[in-house]
Amino acid sequence: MTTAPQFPEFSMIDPRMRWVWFAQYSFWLSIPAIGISIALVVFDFWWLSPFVFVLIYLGSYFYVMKAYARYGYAIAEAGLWLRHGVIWQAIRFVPRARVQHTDVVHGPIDRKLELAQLVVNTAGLQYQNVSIPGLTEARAHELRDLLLLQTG
Amino acid sequence: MARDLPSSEGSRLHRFSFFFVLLGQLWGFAPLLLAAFFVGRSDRYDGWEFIGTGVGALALSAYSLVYTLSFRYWLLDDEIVIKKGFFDRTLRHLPFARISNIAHKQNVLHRIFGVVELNLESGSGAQAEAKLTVLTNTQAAALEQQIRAYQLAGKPLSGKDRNLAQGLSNSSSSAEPSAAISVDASAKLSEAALGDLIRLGLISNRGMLLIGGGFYFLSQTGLSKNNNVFKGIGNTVSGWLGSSHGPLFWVLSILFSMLLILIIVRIASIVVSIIQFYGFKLSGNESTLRTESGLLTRRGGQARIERIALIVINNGWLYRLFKRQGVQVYLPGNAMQGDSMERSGMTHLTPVATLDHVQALIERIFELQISALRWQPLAAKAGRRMAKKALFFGALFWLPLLTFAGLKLTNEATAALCVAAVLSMAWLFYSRHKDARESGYVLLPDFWIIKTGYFSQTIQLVRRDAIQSVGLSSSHFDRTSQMAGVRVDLMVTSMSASPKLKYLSQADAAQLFHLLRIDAMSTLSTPQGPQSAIARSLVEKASAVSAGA
Repeated sequence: MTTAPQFPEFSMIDPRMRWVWFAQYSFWLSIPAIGISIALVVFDFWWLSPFVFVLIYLGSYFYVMKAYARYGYAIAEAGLWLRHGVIWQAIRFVPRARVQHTDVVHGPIDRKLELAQLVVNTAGLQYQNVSIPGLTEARAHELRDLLLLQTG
Repeated sequence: MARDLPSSEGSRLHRFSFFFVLLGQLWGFAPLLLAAFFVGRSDRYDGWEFIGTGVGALALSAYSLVYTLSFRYWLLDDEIVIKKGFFDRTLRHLPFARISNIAHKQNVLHRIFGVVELNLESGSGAQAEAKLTVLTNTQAAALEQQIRAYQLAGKPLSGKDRNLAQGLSNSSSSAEPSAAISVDASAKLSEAALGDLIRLGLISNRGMLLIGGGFYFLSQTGLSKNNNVFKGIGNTVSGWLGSSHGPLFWVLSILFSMLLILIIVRIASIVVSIIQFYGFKLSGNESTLRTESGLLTRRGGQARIERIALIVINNGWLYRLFKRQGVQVYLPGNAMQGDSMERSGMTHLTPVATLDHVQALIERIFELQISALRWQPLAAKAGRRMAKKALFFGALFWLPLLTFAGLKLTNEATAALCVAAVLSMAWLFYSRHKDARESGYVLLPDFWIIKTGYFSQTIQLVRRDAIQSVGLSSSHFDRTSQMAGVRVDLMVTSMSASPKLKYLSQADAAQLFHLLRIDAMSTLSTPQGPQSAIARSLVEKASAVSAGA
């Protein structure tokens, strides 16, 4: 093993994704926060409830900022690179020849913000779908064309 | 490549297919019927049950009849074409080159009627690409051989053999495929003796499911209410110790119960092993392998060697105690399908065999000498890292328990629990260090070989040209210990077949990731053909056979 590993330069996704993720995390974490608040009211610690919400929203905010900074993608001649994760960090590589097909997906929030998500499908099991969120429509199509471009 | 169908009407399934399709449909509804039987038992009779059952039976029968009558297949030079459906018609072209696994199933009813169910799997999705329910034994053998002959030499069959596969022979019951393509031309590579299957039952926990199902059945039917086994054990122990119900009574009762459960599980495991693997046989030649096994339902499969994506050698401490190993294989497409608890097609090279036999088998099929490998170790502090994790979870278990014991139980009981806690933590510390020392990996031109654990050791042989994607990952604790892990994704539809190696040094992990990545790219630059050394040699051998013919 003499070859030094090389990683490409990763591109960032659209910064508006930070707010999309923050809205998603806040929404889902509000459910346990409401449960905890009810428990605090029942046990007469109601004055702690606002702190629970503040803690959850602040935690979500800092986590999302960190996750955004870590999230990166690169389409090289060899294939697709993806870097993600805050606590469990990972770099994943999908060879170009392993790409079965691609989808450009728009969720309701994506449509509102004029964003798109490129989903790359392989024949694998664990990472059957590798997705890059937070792309403009044009960028998603450009990346798709780049990825499906036959080399050699 | 899709093309027009030949002008002929094609071949139909066997004339008893309707019956087997109907049985399959009923089997699919079995959980619903059982639930209705146990949950909906009622003394009130109003006749609606019969009407409902009658309508359901008619609907299933109509579906089965339409399915079998509309089903046609054509065997062309390089593909099988299937047309099925009446209202929702499907026309499917399945090239022989794409078929990775031919799974066959033959239960007692199949054997009585002399038929077999054949599934052709290509790995695109969890379901078989073509399901032929059912064909005569001769038709199925000829079809398998046509696919095998094409895959080996790119040479289509003609005349008698193709007629056999399509059921067009005048005397189908007596006709046999020609010697040139006979299944028996393959050499027998492995068999499982009854003694070894009994050992496998003692090694594995296959009976747990059976026991669990038995307990569930007893609890649902109420048969267990007047037959309390544990009360009987308590009475037996009371008989030994007189009327005393002190700590010794409870310790002996628990030990006796555990021993009884262990014996029952082992007996059930032996029964399951024999039912699953009785008459196991592996045969093959330089390019293709074929297995069959089973006491009641004979299952098996046929696959090209180069399509085997992952080989897993089971080498846990019980296997080592009996001086045996087991070898599983994973192929694209042989997933657990529908309500089946087992993967379809070829799943094992041998369920259990002596170490020498397994070594010889691996060497013969994959040209690998496992015993001669020089293993690369995990990171130097991997044992400490693994032990810390295990001790953390051990402490999470023991601390609340000991706190409770200190507050509520006697001093003797608390002391006994403290001793148990210390012993279990010491065991965790030792076993994790041992696991780390015995784990490692080897990177060969065709395979990435991973050895993990000691007490439940497995050796995974990952075929490098089957890798779909490669990942390099690390948790917060990995990064503080300068460690990382590598994981690859394969084209096999089983969650247990996702090879990964954790606790490598960061430098080794990055190098390994890089090499596997380059390998995945280079082997796939020409997707039309396999590029590994073994696959290349197989192609050369196949070409030689073709040229000789």
